[in-house]
Amino acid sequence: MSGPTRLVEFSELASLALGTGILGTGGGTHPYLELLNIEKLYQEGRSVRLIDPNDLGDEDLVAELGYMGAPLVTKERLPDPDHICRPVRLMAEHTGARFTAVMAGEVGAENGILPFLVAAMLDLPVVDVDTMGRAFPEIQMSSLVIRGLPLVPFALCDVRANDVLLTRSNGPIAVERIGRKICTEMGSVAATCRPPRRGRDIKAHGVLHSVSRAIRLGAAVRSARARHADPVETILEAEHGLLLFRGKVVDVARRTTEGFVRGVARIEGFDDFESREFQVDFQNEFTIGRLDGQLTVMVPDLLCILDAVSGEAIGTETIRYGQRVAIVSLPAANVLVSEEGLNYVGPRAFGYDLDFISLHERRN
Amino acid sequence: MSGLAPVTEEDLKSLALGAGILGTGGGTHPYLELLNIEKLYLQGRRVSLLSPDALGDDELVAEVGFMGAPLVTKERLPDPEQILKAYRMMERYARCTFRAVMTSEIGGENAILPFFVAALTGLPVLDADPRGRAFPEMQMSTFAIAGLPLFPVALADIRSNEVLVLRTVGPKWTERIGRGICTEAGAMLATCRPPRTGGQIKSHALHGSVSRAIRLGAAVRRARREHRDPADTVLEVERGLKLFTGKVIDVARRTTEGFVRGQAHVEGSEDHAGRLFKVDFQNEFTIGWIDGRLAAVVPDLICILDALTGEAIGTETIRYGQRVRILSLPASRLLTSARALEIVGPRAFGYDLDFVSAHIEGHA
Repeated sequence: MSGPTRLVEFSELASLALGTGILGTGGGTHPYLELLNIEKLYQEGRSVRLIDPNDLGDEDLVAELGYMGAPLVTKERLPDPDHICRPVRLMAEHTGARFTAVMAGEVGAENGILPFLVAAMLDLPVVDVDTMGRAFPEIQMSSLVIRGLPLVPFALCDVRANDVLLTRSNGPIAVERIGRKICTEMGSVAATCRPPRRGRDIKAHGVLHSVSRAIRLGAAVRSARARHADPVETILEAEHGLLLFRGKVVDVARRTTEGFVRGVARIEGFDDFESREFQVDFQNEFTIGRLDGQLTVMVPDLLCILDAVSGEAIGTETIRYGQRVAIVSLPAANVLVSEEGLNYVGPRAFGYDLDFISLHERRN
Repeated sequence: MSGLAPVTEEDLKSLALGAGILGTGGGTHPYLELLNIEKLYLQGRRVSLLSPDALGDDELVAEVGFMGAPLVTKERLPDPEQILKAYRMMERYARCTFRAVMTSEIGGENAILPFFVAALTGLPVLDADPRGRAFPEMQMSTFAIAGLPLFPVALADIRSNEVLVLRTVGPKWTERIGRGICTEAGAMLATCRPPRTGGQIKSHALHGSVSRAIRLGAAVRRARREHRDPADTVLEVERGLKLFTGKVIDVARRTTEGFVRGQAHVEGSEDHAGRLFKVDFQNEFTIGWIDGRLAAVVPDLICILDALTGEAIGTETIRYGQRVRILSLPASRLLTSARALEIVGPRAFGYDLDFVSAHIEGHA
């Protein structure tokens, strides 16, 4: 292993889970079950070290991993570290790669924790990076893919003993299409491993330091709670975010279909937003928000719905009538809002005939 | 003894005709595949048939076939390179040298596919198959019946998508996952099943399937030249039964979940005037009733032939007005054991029926 690493303390795991939940922008909520898993591994004497991507050697190979499927399913089919390691082992076996570290495909929600489970099991560090800086519903929605890196070979394993490897594809969207079908057959959740990533590519094209960002964000919320300060305010300060709305969820239409959770939620305003209405669409994650019918926020900017009191993220599978929420927008990573980025993760990639507009000023 | 016999261009025509009849509705007369292999012969390539007795117990054979709805190959024309791709994937993945190629099923177009690989690689085609007919699902094979695993399986579509199903919980899971991929890839995939050893083939495959199809086709062609009844001729070379003579009066067909499914009604004529034959199909004909009474049950073969030419009529080409002869041929004994019937009997097709056969003994 090249470069220094730092130990992630047990007490930081809860912050990581809280932070990844918020960055999940609805996809998977607070990863409570994954947190229990990693805490258990720590209690058994294992631990995880974090490495800065800039300290990776150019030729170091990193396993990029994550779940594919509908987050809802993992609430019944509990996460299992052995299962999540399987595609990583499969990839190593198939490509002959000797992995020096693991990384998250997406830092948002449960997929932000999965590399920690694998790292603890295989005794490898986690790279402080991901390919989204948030969560996205489809696998080609990745900074590495945006920059032209391949998505094959791609390994999928289910909770039984079914293992599938996509070895070639017609392009990243074909991997998503075929992978999604496999995933649906497997019960709408598969543990996956993407092609081995080189240190050089991760440094150039990854969304850097997103893991420590999640830990910092979670820690800020926890400290606000301890101080009885407003966690939502804390999040806005820590992340240069904007408050879009406060209100009560009054209607949710949700269906689990084609391996996704899709639907619409309506929120009735209170406080400064009395008698106004916010409507949000989702496909695993929240995609588009409208305030009184007026488009306010859209992918790839992060649309986060938080419990108004605790600051905890509310997910597309847990949002329900009566919840008091604050709706927040956080700026997307620059790579996602580039022209090539928007082709993969902009509103049109989600089926909306809209040009991307952002509420956030961007610094380069 | 080399165990090799040359396959002539005349043999190919007979093979196509015979394979059509053994297809029992799945894939009809493989006209387009015949054109393809005739073209390869015109380019100077030749294929020999290898007797399974000439295989060493440890020598490996590649089992190839299409997976999908036969209807699709009428629009998406067969390409020898596509099936070669699946074969090469398996060769690379299993790191093995194959002694011969065999078909996944002797019925319908799949009978010709190993000839493509053989013509392009110089290997012989094995005179055996694991079905003695055609079946709609991958696990319906004497190898699976014998308990051999149905993995690894290589899948290739007409684009450049390639998938390896590396491990499954059981043959039905290979079918389920493979079918999902197949449907996404346009309901047609080239497949290469797990490498089979000479020993496995000698114990579990049906020997002489290819020469049987050639003999059957040759007899029908001879009958046509001699202006004799081709259906009667089929019964001279195959120990079968005449079930019905009549005209197709109704067909309900849909292409769904990667299959062609439906039902056809045939109104009796000649000896069967005033009677009605009803047949269900899922890629192949599965169950036949005469006047509501069970007359033929899968895995026995239901063959619907053009009354004049003896050409097989497939589930995708059966239509109003066709004058047909309907025959039943006995299934191989390897398909009618108690264990086999769990996999290829009527219950495997969703019918709450016990297998009953009109035949005294099965095909050897």
